[in-house]
Amino acid sequence: MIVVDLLHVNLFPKIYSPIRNHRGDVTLLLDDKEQAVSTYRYDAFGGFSHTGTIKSPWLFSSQKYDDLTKNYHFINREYDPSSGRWLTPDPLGFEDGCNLYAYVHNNPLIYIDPYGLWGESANGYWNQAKEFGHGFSRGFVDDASFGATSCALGEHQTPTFNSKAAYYTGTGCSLATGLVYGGTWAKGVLYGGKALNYGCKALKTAFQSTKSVGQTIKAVKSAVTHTPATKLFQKVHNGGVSAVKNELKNVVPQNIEKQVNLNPFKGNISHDVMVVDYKGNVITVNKGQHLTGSPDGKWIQVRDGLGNPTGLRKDGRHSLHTHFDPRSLEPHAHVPTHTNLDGTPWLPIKY
Amino acid sequence: MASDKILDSNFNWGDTVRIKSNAPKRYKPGSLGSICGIRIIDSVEVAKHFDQLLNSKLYLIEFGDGHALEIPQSFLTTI
Repeated sequence: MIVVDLLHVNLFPKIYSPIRNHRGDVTLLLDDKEQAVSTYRYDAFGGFSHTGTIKSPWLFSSQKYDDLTKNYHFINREYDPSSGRWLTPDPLGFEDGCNLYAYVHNNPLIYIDPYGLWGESANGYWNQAKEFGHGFSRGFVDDASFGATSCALGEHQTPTFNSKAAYYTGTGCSLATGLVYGGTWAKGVLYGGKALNYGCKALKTAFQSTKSVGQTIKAVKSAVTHTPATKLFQKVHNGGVSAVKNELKNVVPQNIEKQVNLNPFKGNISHDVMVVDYKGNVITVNKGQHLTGSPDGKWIQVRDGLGNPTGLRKDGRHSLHTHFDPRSLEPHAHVPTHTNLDGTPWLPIKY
Repeated sequence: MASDKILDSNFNWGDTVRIKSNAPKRYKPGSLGSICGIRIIDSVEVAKHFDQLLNSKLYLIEFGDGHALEIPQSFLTTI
């Protein structure tokens, strides 16, 4: 990256626009009419030749050239283009290499050093990115391989600060990855130990439960042996179908009758039923009610669960001693809330 | 069976009976009625309600106007 960015060249009384190459060398000066007034050609280390009417002091790497000393004034150091070396050692020491006077590791076509401190790629961001990626990957691999890569490929060269930073960044990332991986591995060992512990416990429990399973099997076997169904099967096996019939008579109907009663003359019924006499007269009996009556069926009463008459009943003939209405002297029915048209309760039935 | 026991009772279905004079007023003492239902007191609750003994009988008596009441046997007599 060219830090000293030369936007214009102010040569009083005019201002010129510089055109630079990839290293930042001023190769052309344009006036305000965009006409070329000067051109410069450079060698690799900053020596130049000039043609044109205007002579600019900013030349190689956009740095100021001193006609008196024939050196360039970089920000931190003086540079001698004739020898291609710095006149003073690197202020950073050996950070940019062991040669404190070498200009960009003697590779000025690729690298530049506008600060006078370290070399960096002169080919823009893409090359810097590539350089960074290369340095990063090499550093990462070197660290990950514990130096084996360096032994195989040789020591990695870090001619620029960018590549050096990339290399050490890669090394750091490798180290961090290793730590994370190591932590994960340690966790894995921990979890593996726990899993082994649980496995042992599970095995122990399984071993103990084997006894329980055996006991359970015995209990189930005993339970099955003593169930009515098993007994029934045993009787079938021993006594045949007749034994099954007897067993069903003794066991099954009793249970069913306790739950379901559809005969209102045998107690409270479990479901609503309609009782029809031989003449076709119908008496409805609701759930929980039952019927009482004479053995000949001429007198029938519907009673609730406590035995109290509900009022719904079928009567035979009443006596003239007590009743005078002719409808009461014939078989009739009583239905609560229902009367004849004249209000009398003796409702006609078939008889 | 219960109906067999009922058959052995003093009164039967369709019989005409008179309510004794010492019966409570709610039973209409002195009235004539016709027996249209019979049951045996088989629970303490019913016995207490009618102030009767267990296994005594209750008769469903229908009067001449068509109304019917359950009256204990002890309050009934033949005509």
